[in-house]
Amino acid sequence: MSAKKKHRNASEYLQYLKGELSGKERHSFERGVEADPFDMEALEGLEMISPGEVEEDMLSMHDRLRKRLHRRRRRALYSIAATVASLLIVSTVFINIYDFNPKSRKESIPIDKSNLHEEPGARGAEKEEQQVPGLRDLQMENDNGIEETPPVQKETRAPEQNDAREETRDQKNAPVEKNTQIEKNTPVEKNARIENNAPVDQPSGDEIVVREREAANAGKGITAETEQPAVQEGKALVPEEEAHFDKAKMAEAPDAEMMQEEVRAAEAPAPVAGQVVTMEAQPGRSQKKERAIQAPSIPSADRVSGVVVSSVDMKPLIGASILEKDSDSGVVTDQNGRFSVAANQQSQATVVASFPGMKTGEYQLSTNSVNQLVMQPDLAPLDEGVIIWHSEEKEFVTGAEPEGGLDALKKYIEDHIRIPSGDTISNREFVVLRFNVDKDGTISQIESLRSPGQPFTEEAIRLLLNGPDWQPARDENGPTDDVVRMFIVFKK
Amino acid sequence: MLEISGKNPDITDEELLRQFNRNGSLEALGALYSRYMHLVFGVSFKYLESREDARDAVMQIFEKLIIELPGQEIRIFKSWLYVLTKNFCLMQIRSQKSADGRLEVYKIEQEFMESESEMHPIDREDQSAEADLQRCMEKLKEDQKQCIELFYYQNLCYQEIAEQLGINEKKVKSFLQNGKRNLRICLEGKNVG
Repeated sequence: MSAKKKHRNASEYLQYLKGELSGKERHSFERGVEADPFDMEALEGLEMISPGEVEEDMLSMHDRLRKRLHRRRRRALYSIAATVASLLIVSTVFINIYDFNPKSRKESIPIDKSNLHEEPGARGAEKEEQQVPGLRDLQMENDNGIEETPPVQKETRAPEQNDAREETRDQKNAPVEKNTQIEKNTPVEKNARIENNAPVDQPSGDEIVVREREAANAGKGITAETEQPAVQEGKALVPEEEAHFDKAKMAEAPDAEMMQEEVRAAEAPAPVAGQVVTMEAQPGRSQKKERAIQAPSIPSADRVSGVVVSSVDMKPLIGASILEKDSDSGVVTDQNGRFSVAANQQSQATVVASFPGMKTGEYQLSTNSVNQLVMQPDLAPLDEGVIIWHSEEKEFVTGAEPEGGLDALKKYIEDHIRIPSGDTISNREFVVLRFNVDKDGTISQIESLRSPGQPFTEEAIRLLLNGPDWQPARDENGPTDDVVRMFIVFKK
Repeated sequence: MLEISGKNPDITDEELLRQFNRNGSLEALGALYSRYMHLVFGVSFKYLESREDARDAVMQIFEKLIIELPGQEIRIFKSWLYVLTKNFCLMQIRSQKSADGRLEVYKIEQEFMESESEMHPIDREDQSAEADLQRCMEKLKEDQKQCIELFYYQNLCYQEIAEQLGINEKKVKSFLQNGKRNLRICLEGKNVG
């Protein structure tokens, strides 16, 4: 059936969801969906929303994507501007504030208002096409889901800000405040406003800033994980005046540098940004070189974060298991190989990292450093061709095994493995399957934990199912269920 | 309205990927991504259960793509994107949980991985093993068999099947899923002897 091969685009989905298709068309759509797990799950999600809302969301996302594509080109320019801005701030504080504030304020007020207008439902239909760059960026922020954007306080500014800023600098963790927040506290103004900063009942100032600047997910508290939105925000702050303005309002010193840092991070996002963000909060307010350390982060020392990389290419390992040694909790590294765990009183944590194909290792982490966990490849399994692990939750006398032992399975795989056609593999690829071996030896619930692609997964499953039968695991009571993870290597 | 996704439908995913890899063309990546944005959104919504979060996720995943794509050898972009999307959503869920919620989240991931499946024989183009298929069909539970028959052989849609059998669509889908799973096990020779 042709429908199976064809990709079902958004319009077709909408037609389907809206019930505009005939029974026959519906069937062919469904048939296609059945053949692809991505479609299956997506449809499941989409069916929970009304078609009208889906459409609205789709439009808004396309819009955002378009803007995103457009914006990217200005990135370089912005980072330069931001750098200049921050340098200026460092050197000529007073003048800047006097000079720029009035201007920028004029600019930003209408901006925020317009944001407000379209805030609630209209994001699908942001009509204003061409606007000042700043405005566009701000809109984007809004899109990103800030629930509320109270108009930036109009009465802000004033000469006293300078003193105020000095004050805040002196308050160590003095939560960097953001405009809107200040607003909430009281419609106050000037230094009074700034003093209010500290007591704000928000979780942590740094975090707030991060959020605010990321401007995405205000409610979700995404901090460390999302470096990207920070980039956008960095840009939003870029035009010089604005940067100054913000700075003044925030009454916050290291901020400019952080901005800069963020923008830089944007330039080389992958490793830098992430690590930076996960590092300890340092109130490094004397604007010195060590920008990285000033990056916004969760100030408390109760989390230790790190990044897991492979010693082979120093690339992050995604999905590596991180077990905390003193507890049973575990996490898995994210798409950037990052993770974080709770720290003990000494601001340390000991974790055991494991990853298929790598040597399991124990690592001592501390909140005071960038924890890079370099994992060494475990060459044994790579040469073995296949290796299995058993359920970690049970105690077995013997784990489930292929008939004839692992060697028989290995032999079978060696003899029968086929590199999926049309696929060239660079060196070695591997697939990790997990499946149940029930107490009667039946294999069920096969799933792919890692795979370079569908054809490899299928081949691995084919090998598993056509290979030797499996003997169930045994504990003291006899045969029992086991969950096996199997690692199969595809060699060139 | 959603023209972007149809932009140059003739250009393959692979070609767009190549363009992006060659000269970092964001346009190309954007065009590619917009083909799947609705799927990313649907999956994100399924996990995050908020339209707002799902929309944000869609944008954040795009940012991730920009970072993670270079240097990756990707065979099937769609599958790769699927995995990326799911992982991203899980991370989101995890980051929303408090420290003591971590274990629980960890379990969610385990469960969730199980839903990953591969192309089922019955969905393939070449249903060469027609006889085997029939034999295995006979072994299915009645509900599952009926649903598979109506869907794959009578070419009815979920709705129609639901009406015909007097059950709801959800049930139809789950019978289909379970039926397919059992079929697969049978076809692979495990239960047949």
